[in-house]
Amino acid sequence: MHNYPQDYKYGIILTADMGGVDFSQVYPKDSGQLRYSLDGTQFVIKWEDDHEPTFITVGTVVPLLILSHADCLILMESNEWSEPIE
Amino acid sequence: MNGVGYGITPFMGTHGILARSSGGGGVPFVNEYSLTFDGISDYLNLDSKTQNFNDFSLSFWLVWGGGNYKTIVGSSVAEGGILWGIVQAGGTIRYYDNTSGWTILSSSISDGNWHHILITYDSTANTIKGYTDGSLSVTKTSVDPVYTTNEHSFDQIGARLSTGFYNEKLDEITVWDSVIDIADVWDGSGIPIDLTSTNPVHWWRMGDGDGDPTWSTNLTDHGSGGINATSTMPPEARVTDVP
Repeated sequence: MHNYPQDYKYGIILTADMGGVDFSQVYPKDSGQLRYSLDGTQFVIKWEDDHEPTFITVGTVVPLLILSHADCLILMESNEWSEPIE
Repeated sequence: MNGVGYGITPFMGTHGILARSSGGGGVPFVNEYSLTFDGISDYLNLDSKTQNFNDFSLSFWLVWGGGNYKTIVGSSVAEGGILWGIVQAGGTIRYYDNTSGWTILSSSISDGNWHHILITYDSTANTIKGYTDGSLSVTKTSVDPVYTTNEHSFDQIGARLSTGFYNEKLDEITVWDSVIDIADVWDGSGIPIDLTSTNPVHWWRMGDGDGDPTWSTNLTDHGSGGINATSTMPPEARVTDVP
């Protein structure tokens, strides 16, 4: 049993590489529910840390970053991912 | 809608959770699960937008997760009035007001414990009230909502627009199309009560009744509105830490 979300890895993927992502192996399962960077060029997926997706293992898709939950939270607060608050 | 009259019955559910009878010999009310949000990409998308409420009440339980402008309920587009974004910011619950900005609706909830929030909006008086753990915290008159198209409505839990992702636990999110009394949702015990007899329009129980032993990752609306929700989350996001 995994502790959620601490036991998950987060991958930052180029939107141009979406075709190589097998969404049955990651969350979200629906490509229509992805979180994108503000400029739309990147998105976030996640997986259990001991179940790396095969499309990453074999190099079909090479993430820009693979992050822990804590490190991904920090990235999401950056100007590239979060609008300034009114 | 006062005087629901719940009696505590020493019934132990399958997870050892104290249940309480809803009276009349019905099935005991049990709250075994809540949902934990990762603050990155977890949210729930309602199958359709809620109705546009005139008066409304919104009740929920939450654990504060730090950060700011983390959304409890919100809209995927810039509309919905008050319900465009009900957020946690600065250790309090807030809504966005055109005149006063992010306006506080609660007392401090930043201690890491479960807290109950009730927000009521009276359209005739144009007044919003916020209650924290059974006590009135804020009364705000002359409400001036932002994004007034389709006010007051929402279509997401845990995010607004594509930002403000909630980052801790939420439970028992319930909506009525009227101003309810705090006694309808808070009996002083500090735990959720059976809301069936209050006839909510929406009641997402955050995992209870949504699959055992594995969460379906979707939510059933136990209110009369019947708007179910689809999540972006894994089954492990449903946890047994409950208020």
